[in-house]
Amino acid sequence: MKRLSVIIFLFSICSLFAQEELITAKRKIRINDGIGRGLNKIEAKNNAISNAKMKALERVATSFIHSYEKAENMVLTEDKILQDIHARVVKHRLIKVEYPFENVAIVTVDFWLEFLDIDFFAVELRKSAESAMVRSFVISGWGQFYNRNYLHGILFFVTTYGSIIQAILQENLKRDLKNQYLLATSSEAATFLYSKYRNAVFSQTAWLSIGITSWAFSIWEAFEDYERAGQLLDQTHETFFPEFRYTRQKSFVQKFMEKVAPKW
Amino acid sequence: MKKLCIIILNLFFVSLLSASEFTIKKTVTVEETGSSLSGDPVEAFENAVDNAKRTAARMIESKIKAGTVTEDGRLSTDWVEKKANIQVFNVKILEKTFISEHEVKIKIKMTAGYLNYAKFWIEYDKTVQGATHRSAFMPGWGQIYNREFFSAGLYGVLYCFFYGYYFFSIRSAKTEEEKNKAFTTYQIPAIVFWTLSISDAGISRIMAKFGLEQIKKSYQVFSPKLNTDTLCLDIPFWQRSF
Repeated sequence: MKRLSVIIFLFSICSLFAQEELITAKRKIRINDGIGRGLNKIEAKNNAISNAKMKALERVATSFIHSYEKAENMVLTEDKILQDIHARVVKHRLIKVEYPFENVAIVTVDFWLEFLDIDFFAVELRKSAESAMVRSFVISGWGQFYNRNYLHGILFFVTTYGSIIQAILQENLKRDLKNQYLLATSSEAATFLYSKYRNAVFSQTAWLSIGITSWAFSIWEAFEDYERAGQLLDQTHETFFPEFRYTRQKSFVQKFMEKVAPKW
Repeated sequence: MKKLCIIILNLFFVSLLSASEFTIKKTVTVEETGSSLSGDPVEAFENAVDNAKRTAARMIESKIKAGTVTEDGRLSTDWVEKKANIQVFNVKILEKTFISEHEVKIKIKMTAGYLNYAKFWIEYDKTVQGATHRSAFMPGWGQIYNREFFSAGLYGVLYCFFYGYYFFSIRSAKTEEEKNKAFTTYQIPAIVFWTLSISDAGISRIMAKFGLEQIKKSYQVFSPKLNTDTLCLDIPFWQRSF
């Protein structure tokens, strides 16, 4: 019962993780200089909130400022400032409104924004199916973590190592039962202990098979699941940087496996 | 202790999503004023914020190009060009004071990042062949070239482990059957990891190139290398751009 409750608890945590978008970063930002003017106070406040929203987007990560200034004979001839925004507002909350002049409002608003860090993206793009597979070979479930599939990662880890630990425990039980069987005084006790020993051998084999199968499947799944992880990254990139396009390439091993692997 | 744990956890989660491999961060505080000729407080306020941001951007990173033209030993014209390409991480308005209805004084704190050009160009110039050839020579070396040190360690250790076992098994093998067993148990996995290492190094380099291309476009970086087209003798002179 205790074990079952632990498993249910782990599942609920995993499902929480699974609902979250794990590729984008989220950030809270407070804007205290949203300014707006209107015919009345309400309109001024609404305009100020819109202004604050624009400012929040300009001031969060992955917003780029490109400025250019040119002076000829000590006279400023060109002065340009360009802003590229690659973020979006998830929700906002109004904190404070001030009216310094008639029908002019200054607001303080909290914004929750979502964005894709370009530096993080460049590092994430380097990941490969081979690396995921090798990680799962070393520790079952690690490849899934590498692919940011945390739910599957935890499941594989728990199943593989839980089964292997169970098999080790059965080995100890098997040894004890064997010793008891050798010391048995009556034939009835010997028969009973032998049947228990046979059961322990069977359950050890079963646990070991589950563990090995789960480990092998974890390796295969990490390799196959990489495609999903890559596509998720590509889609997120397309949402935030639609003007910069690229094509995902497949590695030599991936192409080879596509030809060789059975198509179910 | 609890606070320390929270800080460490925060740092861990922040580091998960901001790799900052190619960006250098800097924070500056700037005081600026903004005014409006039409006496509009909103325009004055926005001008003040814009001025402050512009000054901060140029304080964080700016590339300056200048030139002069001299005729008969006299300076006839001179020009100065200033460019800044930064990524804004945070802008905070610390103080805002309305001096009058058409003049505002503002103090801002700005954290922004600019591209680490040296690191960027070193990475950008790396080739797919460079990565695959290195991995073919020694599993894990291509990953070091790609700056994936953890993967490099994994491939290196796994290859050495299996090949080392194969080597010792062959030395201690007495029969042909034992040698065959050592081959299937240890040498085949070593060869598989070697192949995986080469394939991984190649595809990582190709995809890294895409990532760097995105950074290049976002920061509006252009090649610092000289355009040598005009120096190439294969191009006919009428096609050369002087």
